[in-house]
Amino acid sequence: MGHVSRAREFVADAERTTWHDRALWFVRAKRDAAADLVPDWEALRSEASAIKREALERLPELWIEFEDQAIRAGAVVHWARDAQEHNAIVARLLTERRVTRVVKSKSMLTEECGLNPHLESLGIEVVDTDLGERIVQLRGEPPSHIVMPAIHLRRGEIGETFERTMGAPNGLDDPDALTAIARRDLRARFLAAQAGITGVNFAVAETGSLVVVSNEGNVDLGTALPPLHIACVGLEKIVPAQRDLAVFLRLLARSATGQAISAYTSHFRGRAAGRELHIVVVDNGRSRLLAEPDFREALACIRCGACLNTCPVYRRSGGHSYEAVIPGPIGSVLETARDPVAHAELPHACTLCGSCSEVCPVRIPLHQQLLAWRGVLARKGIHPQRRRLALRLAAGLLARPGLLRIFDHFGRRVARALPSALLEGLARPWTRERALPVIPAESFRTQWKQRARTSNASGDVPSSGGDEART
Amino acid sequence: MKTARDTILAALTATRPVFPARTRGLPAPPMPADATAILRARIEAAGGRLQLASRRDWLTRIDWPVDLTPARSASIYSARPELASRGAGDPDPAEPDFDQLDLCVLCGELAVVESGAVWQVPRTSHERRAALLAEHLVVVIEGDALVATLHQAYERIDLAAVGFGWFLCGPSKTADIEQALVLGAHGPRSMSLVWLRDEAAEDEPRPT
Repeated sequence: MGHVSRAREFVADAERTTWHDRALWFVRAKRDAAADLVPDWEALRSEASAIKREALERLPELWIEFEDQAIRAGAVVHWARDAQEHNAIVARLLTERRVTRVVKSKSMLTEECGLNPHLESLGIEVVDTDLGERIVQLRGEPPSHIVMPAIHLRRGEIGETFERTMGAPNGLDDPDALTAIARRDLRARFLAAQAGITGVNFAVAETGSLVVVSNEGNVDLGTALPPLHIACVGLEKIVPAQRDLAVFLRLLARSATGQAISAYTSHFRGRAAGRELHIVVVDNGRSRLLAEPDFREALACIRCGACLNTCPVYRRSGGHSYEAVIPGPIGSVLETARDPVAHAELPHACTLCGSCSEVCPVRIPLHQQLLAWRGVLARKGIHPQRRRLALRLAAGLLARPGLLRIFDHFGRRVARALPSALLEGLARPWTRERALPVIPAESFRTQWKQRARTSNASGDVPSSGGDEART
Repeated sequence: MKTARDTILAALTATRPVFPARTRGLPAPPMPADATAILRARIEAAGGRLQLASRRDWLTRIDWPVDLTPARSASIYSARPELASRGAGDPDPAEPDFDQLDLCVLCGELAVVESGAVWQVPRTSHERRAALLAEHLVVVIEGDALVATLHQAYERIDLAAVGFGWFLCGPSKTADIEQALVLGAHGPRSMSLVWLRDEAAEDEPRPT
């Protein structure tokens, strides 16, 4: 359907759009407050960026070191070139052990790979255990945010879902009561599960450790109770040394939710007695993205969601409008890399305000990447016909000052003579939500010359930033 | 045939980027003068509590989330010798499994002032399970267990020697329903960090 159509559906509910916008801005404000309490915040962001750059330069060595350490500690390391191989490895591990009940904590990688439908097709029940993910799973929807999967839903809708699926009383919409119902239901599922699947926040090459964070404790219940733990990790999640964790963990929760740190930051290394740890290392397009100088730094992303919370487009269009596993600014970069044709609209769903780049804890130049994507898409000819034509016209005019002046001279006269309704019709879809400006009688160039003449005559000196009151 | 591992490592080598030279290294922030106050504020912001007590009588002085008198028969797992495990929490093999526990008392190793988090390494899988299934969690640290930030914490932790360890900060929580904070999403509904100190140091340190 495309981002514009889906966004139009979302904003049709003005009350929801306003709530969504404010809720996410509130999270952004909490992020600011938390960052303000860290005196070396900006240095910390630079350090995180430097560590990620080092990691991206040394990926093969770091993964070999990680594998060696993890195996020594008793883990089994698997490698998957793509989503299909990833799903096949996880499915094999489960079916070999006759596992039919799995609990899974939040993992954007398994979303990206479509793991749940694959396992379900094999008769394996997969229960998402993060409350937000459970809510959208029960509704048959994808997450709309990478940290707050159900942020697009109001409490009444969640109550209805719980009434339908867990027998909650009709009309119940109290978050405490709803959470208690989900807790009871999920506790039984944790205890009955034969395997736990988790994502990974950081893989430490130096020690072969995996770090996974959560607030609910679902990661830990899902790995402490069942005898089998499968951790799925994208190639970009590696950090060189354990001391690097301090840098990322000081940034991650503050950027994500404004918390100083998540409630649970768990470090797994190898296998405990009577248990198994399997680590599935997944490429699925990451090595290809690494080859793209303009976009490779997107691999530094730590999935905090700060760029989503601050994005004026995301806040007012909702995560589902992106029709992508990861929405928002970082999603628009990553998903366009994965499939430029399917996601060609996403780099254009950006105002280039740059707020995403300002809040990114690892300093990914997100708005610059989105701009760069527009160039790539234009060069590849992946553009709607109409936009391609308009851009070609603009390029032709702007490169020829003489022609531009003639066009300006006659264009303004024609435009001023036409009825405004006709003019607005010509400028759709831009004018759907906006009024066209009044077309001035004189060109900017003429106005500027006149202005310069007047100010010279009155002896004014054009001041630059003359705010300081000096005496 | 090439394995997936070979293909991936070859691809990463072939596409290896080189970024402009950069400097690394961040000076770790020092311990703040009002460390206890900051630690308390961070823990409370996470929905937890900080309780200061002396080694001598902490058991009777701190505010317990459950009634400890034997008559109330609360099930307890305790890693502290002063307090006995009982009921479902008793790691006696006679009762190896449990799905509900009233209280879990753990020994923490470090408390991170800036984060409000405590580093804890469960001694057994039973202990790890207890920490998650208990309704209330109490983590006890002693003496000079405070560090300023995670940088200092990771200088004192050796992950190569830790099969499983975690930073804990406040109780289990969620805000997935309309951003309303709910404590006890899956795990404990309350969490206290108890800091045991020598008699002499019992008062709050005052910045001079």
